[in-house]
Amino acid sequence: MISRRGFLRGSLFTTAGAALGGGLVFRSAQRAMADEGRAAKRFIFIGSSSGCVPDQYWPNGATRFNYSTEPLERHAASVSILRGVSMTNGGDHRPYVKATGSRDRDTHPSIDQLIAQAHRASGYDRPPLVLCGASKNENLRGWLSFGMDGVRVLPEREPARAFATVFGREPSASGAPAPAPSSGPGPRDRVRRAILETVRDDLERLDERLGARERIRLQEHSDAVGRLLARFESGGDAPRGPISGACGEGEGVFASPPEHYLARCMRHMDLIALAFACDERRVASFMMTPLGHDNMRPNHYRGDAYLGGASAVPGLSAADQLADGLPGDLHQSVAHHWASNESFARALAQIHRAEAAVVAYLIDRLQGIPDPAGGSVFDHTAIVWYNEHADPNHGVNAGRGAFPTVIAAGSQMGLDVGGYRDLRGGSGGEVHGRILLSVADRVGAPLSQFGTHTERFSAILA
Amino acid sequence: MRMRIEVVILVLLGACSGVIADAPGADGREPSERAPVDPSAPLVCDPTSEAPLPAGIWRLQRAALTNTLRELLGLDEVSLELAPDPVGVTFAGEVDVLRMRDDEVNAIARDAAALADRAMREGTLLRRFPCLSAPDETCRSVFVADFGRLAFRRPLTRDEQARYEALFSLAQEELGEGPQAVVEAMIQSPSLLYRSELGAAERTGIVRMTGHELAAWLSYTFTDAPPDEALAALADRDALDASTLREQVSRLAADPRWRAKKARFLRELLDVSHVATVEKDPTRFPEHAALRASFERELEALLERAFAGAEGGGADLGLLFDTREAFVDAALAEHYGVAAPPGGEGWVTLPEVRRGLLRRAAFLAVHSGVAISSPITRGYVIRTRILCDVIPDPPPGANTSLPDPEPGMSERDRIDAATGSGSCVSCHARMNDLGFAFDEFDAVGRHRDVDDLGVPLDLSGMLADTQDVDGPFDDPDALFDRLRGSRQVAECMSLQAFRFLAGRGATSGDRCTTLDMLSAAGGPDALDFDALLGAYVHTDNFAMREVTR
Repeated sequence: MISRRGFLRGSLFTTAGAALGGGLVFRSAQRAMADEGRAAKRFIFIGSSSGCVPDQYWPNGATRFNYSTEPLERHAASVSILRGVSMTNGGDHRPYVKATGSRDRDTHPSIDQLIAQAHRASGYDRPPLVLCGASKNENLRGWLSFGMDGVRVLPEREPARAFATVFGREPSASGAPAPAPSSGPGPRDRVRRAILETVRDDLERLDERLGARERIRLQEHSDAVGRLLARFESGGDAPRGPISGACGEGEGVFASPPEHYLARCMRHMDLIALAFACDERRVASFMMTPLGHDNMRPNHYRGDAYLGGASAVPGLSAADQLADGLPGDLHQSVAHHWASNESFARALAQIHRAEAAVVAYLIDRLQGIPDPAGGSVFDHTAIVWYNEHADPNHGVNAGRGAFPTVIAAGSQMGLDVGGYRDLRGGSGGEVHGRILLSVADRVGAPLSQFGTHTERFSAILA
Repeated sequence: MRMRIEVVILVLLGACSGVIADAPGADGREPSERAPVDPSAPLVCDPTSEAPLPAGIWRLQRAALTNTLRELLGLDEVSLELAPDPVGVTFAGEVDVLRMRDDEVNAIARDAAALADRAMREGTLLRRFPCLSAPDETCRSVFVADFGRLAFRRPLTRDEQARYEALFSLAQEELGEGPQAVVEAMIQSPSLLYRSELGAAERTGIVRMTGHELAAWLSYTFTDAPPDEALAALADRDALDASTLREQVSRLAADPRWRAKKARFLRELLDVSHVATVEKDPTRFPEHAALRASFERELEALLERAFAGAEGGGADLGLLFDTREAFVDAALAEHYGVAAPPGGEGWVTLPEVRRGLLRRAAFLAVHSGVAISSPITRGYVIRTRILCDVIPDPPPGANTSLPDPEPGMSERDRIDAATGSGSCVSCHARMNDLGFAFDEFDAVGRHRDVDDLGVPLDLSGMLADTQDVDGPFDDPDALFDRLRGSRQVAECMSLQAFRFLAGRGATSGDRCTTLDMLSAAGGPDALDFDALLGAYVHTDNFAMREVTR
C-alpha cells in the first residue's frame, strides 16, 4: 500500500485549484524525464508605470522606433510594439490587474506564477524570480507577483539579496565562477544535507494535519527547503544545472550595491541572465518603475531613499529633480500631467527611453548565452513589457484602451514579432489577458484560464 | 466581565481536549467561506453564526522569532537576516503575508547555522547542557529531548526524538558538531517556526487547543516570546485549568512586553511606525530631516505613558482625540509654538488646536504628501482606519489628477472640482471633508492659517455615510467630538484589535467575539484600548479552533 506521504511525494500540481486540493510535494532535484530532450522555454514579465508621450513613443512614419523606444531598435526583428492593448475585460489599470487578469486582488495568481506552476508540472521546480527596481513592500500597488493562493509575493529590490536567494550563497567578489564540485560531498555537506532532510521530514509530518489552504503555504516552504536540499545532492554549492559557460560569469557585479536606481535595474537584468544561464530560473517578473506614488498612499513613498539618491530621470539626482521643478512623485504629478508641461513631457520621454534601454540590455544579455537546444537563451525566451499607464494618460484621454506594450521573443518562440501593431478599434482594443494566454502557450504553459480570461489572441502567434 | 471570564474558563474545563463538535462551524460554513464583517453595518452578535478561529499554523512574526531564538540559545542579542514582516491589510505580519519562500528559507538557514555556531562558541549551550563537552548516548538523548521541548514548545514525539538523535550522531561522527546540527535543524523546523493551533484531534469539527498550544498562544499573544518556565511547566503537567489560566493571564498582562505590544497596535493602526524615516521636499521643509526624530520621541512617549497607566496618561479614545499633553524637545516645542520645557525636553501642555494624537506632527507628517498636506490622504486614513470604512480604488478610467489651480482658487476648491462629481463623488464625499478638517496643518504638521495655495482655510465640513454620527461640523473640534462618541468608531477599534491579535480580519463568525471585546473594554462610551486588547484572551472562542478541510 502506498502511504499518503508516499503518494504526496509523487503528486504534481497543475492549477491553483489542484494546489488547493493537493498535498505536500517534494520533488526530486533531477529534472523530470518529461523535461529532457525538449528545449526549455522562458518567460519574463516586466511592468512599468509611466505610460508614454505619444509623439515620442509611437512610430512616426519615418521609423518604427521613436525617441523613447530607440534603444530597442537594435533588436527590431525580435520586438513588437503594441498599441491599443486594453483592460476592458480585466478591470482598471492597476499593476495587479495586468499581472493577475482580475480586479479582485489577493485572489488570483499572477501570470509569472501560473507559468512557473505549469513548468513544475513538467518537472522543472524553480519558482519565478520576483524583482523590483525601486520599491519593495512600500508600494502595494506596484506589486506584480501573486502566489497560487493569490497572496502577494514580495519583490526583491536588492540584486545581491536576489542573487543569494537564487544561488543559495553570497556572490563572489572576484567574479569568478563558483568552483565545480570536486570528488563528491564532504563531511560538512553530508551534515548539512542531513539537517535539511530532517527539516523536510518535519514539514512532511506537519502537512498531514493541515487544511487545504494552509497546505499551499507549507508547500511553498517545502519547495524552498527542497531547492536548498538539492544544492547538496551534487555535493557542493555549484549551480544546479549550468546550461552554458556563461553560468557563473560576471557575478562579481553583485558583490557591491548598485550606485543608483537605473544601475539597479540593469543589475537585475544581469541577474535574470545569470539565473537563466545556470537554469536556476526560467520565469522572472520585474516591476521597474513605480516612481513614487504620492497620492492615496503617500506613507508608502520613500522619496529618494529608495532611489538611492538618484532620480528616475536619467542623469539627475533626486535633488536635481526637485531643483529642476519636477515634483518628487514622478507618477501622479508628472506622468499624469505631462500634456500641460513641456519639461514634464521631456522628463517622461527620457524615463521611457531609459526603460527601453533596460529591456534592450536584457535582450543583449540573453542573446549572449548559448542555449543547448541551439541558438541563444533569448531564442527560447518571451518577454512581455506592459505599462500601467495608458496612452497618453489614463483617465484623461485614452481611458483603459491603449496601454503601451512590448513583446520581445526569440526565433524559437513561435511568436509573430518584429513589427508594430495598432490594435485600437471600435471594440476598445485587444484585451491584455488574451495576449498573455497566447504567450503562455508558447512558453510551455497552456493555461485554461488567466484571471477572468479564457480566450486567446492567436494573431500574435507565428 | 469577571463573571463572563469565569464562565468561559468553566467551558474550557468542560472540554478538556479533542473534538467537541462535528460540524465545520455552527453556521455550517468553512472558515474561508465566511464573509468579512461589513463595517458599514452595525455589529450584531448572532450566536448561531459564531465560530472559532480556524485551526492551523502560524509562522512566528520576526520579533517573536527573534525573542524565541534569544531565549532558546541563551544569547544576549540575536540579529536575524530574515526580512521585516510585510504589512498585511493593516498590520505587519498578518497571517496571510507571513510566508516561508526561498528568501525566508535561505535567510533562516543562514541564521540557523550562524546561531548554532555562536551558541557553542559562546558557551551558552554548554552551560545549560554541560555533558555536551563530551557527549555520550545519554547526553545525546537528554539534549535532544530537553532542547527540543524548549524549541518546539512541547515534548518531542518518539519519531522526532529518534530522527534528531540520528542527526546528532551523524554530525558528531563527521564533524564533532552533533549539538550544532540539532540546533541548526530545530531552528529551521516548522515546529519552531510555526505556532501550532491544530488542537488535539484531526477529525472534522471544532477542537480545543492542547495545553502546549494554549501556553504558546498565551505567551506569544502577550509577550511575543515563548512560554516561560512557569507556563511551560503547567502545560507539561496539563494543568492549565481555570484557576491557573487566570493566574497566568494576570501575570502576563503585567509583563512590560505586553505594554510594548499594545503600543505597537496603535502605531500600526495609525500607520505611523515609519515617522522617523518619512521624506519631505527638502527645499520646502529643510527643517524636517532634523525634526523627524523629535516626532518619533513624542509618539513613543505618549504611547508608553498611555499603556503604563501613568498619571496623566490613559489609553482611551481621548488619546486619539483629546489629550493635550506632549513630550517635546526644544525643536519640537518651537514647531508646536510652545515654550521649551526646562532642561530642554519634557512634558508640556499644548494649545487646544493640538488636541489628540491625530493632530500631532507624527500622524500629520506621515499622512501627507512630500510637499503638500494632501487632505484626501488624511481623510482616507481616518475613514479606513478609524471608521473601518472601505474605500475602493478609483474606478476604471478615473482621472486621478487635480486640475491646475486658477488664481484665487483654494486647494479645497481644486480638490472639489476634481472629485465632486461623476464616479468620484461617492467615495470622496466620505473622505474629503474629513481631510479638510486637518488642513490647518501642513505636510510636516506645522500649524498654519492658509492652505498650500495660500488661500485662507475652511475647516468645516460634512460627516457623511457613517452609522451614527452623520451631519455638518463647523470645525475640527466638533468633528473630533462626534467621532469620539461614535459607536462605529468604537466597533472599528474592536475590529482592528481583533485583526491585530488574530492576524486576520473578522468574519461573520467573529461578530460576537468582537462585540464581547468591545463590551469588556468599556463599550462605545468609555472604550479603553488596554482593556480592549486584553479582552481578546477572554472571549468564548479563544481556546477553540475550527478544523478546516
